[in-house]
Amino acid sequence: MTKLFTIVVHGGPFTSQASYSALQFTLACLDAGHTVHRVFFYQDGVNNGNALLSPPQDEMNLHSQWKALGNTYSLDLVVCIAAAARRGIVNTDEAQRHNKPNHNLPAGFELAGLGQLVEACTVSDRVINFGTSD
Amino acid sequence: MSTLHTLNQSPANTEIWSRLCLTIETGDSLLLFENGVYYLSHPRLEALTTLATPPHLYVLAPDARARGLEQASHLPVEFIDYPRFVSLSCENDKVIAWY
Amino acid sequence: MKQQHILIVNQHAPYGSAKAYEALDLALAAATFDQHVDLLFLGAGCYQLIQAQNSNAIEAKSFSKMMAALPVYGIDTLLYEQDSLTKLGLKASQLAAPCKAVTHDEIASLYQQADHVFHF
Repeated sequence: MTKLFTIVVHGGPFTSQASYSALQFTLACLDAGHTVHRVFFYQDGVNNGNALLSPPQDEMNLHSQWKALGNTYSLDLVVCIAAAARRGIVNTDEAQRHNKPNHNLPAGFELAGLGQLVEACTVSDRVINFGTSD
Repeated sequence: MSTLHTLNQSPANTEIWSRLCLTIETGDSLLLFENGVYYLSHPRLEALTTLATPPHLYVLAPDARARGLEQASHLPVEFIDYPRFVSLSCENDKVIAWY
Repeated sequence: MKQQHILIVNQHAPYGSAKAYEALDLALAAATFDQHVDLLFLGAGCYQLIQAQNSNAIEAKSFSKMMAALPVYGIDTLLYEQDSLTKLGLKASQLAAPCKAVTHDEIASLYQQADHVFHF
């Protein structure tokens, strides 16, 4: 029996393992034939949307991995708009609105409010949180 | 009604362990991953297995391997991969992530 | 929208990190969408409940003010673990008004009743 999953990522790439764990879990969900209703990035998790992340060649680029996974499976990758703006993660619209010369959140990631997380709670069979380790 | 508890904190975080133990019910499962795998070398985990109705214990194998911990334990612990993590999430009625 | 029981657990003091703010933001959002929200304060999270916080002193957003707005959203009681208070050397008289102490058993049933639990 397949289920509807929502994955919540609370940790940033590189600074915690949360993003990697969440990515592996999401991949395993999809491989098993489950539906991923939404991946919601909150707190420092919004940094996963930053296209400017430039890790060394031999290290994983979690931004690229999420973007590719989202692309392949048409995932709803939602970045919390308030948490993102505070951390300097903006798309073209938000950059314009805040009068910033650049943006760093590419197409494939959507900026939206916490209502999207609440909605996900009401429709998903399982909501799986990935927080940061000690 | 059963719950899958996931724990990614090391035994150094004593507060979270006592709260987790407070909420674990008969038939629940506990998955140790990320820094939670350090419980493999901590007596608190053994104490948990001596309860009248201990939870089912799982350890995410890649996280244990990464941290240099034995892939075997004398405790009734099952080493699992991500697909099993997903199926455990389905088999239980809800998932509580402790962090 | 289907009503769910959402438990938001606060384990961190305010101002030192953004966790307290972002937990409260989620609580307000959930309440706005008519969800049943329980706010539980454990360990250092109890420091969020101290009354007469003056965040102007560090040019931060007032946490007390945000907390005071909770009843407007239908979140009437803030629950804290009595044990945590004792361990931190805090007295109930130091806490802001709508707080209620809960026992270990009550905390266990909050976790059982919740459809979703978010730790901050």
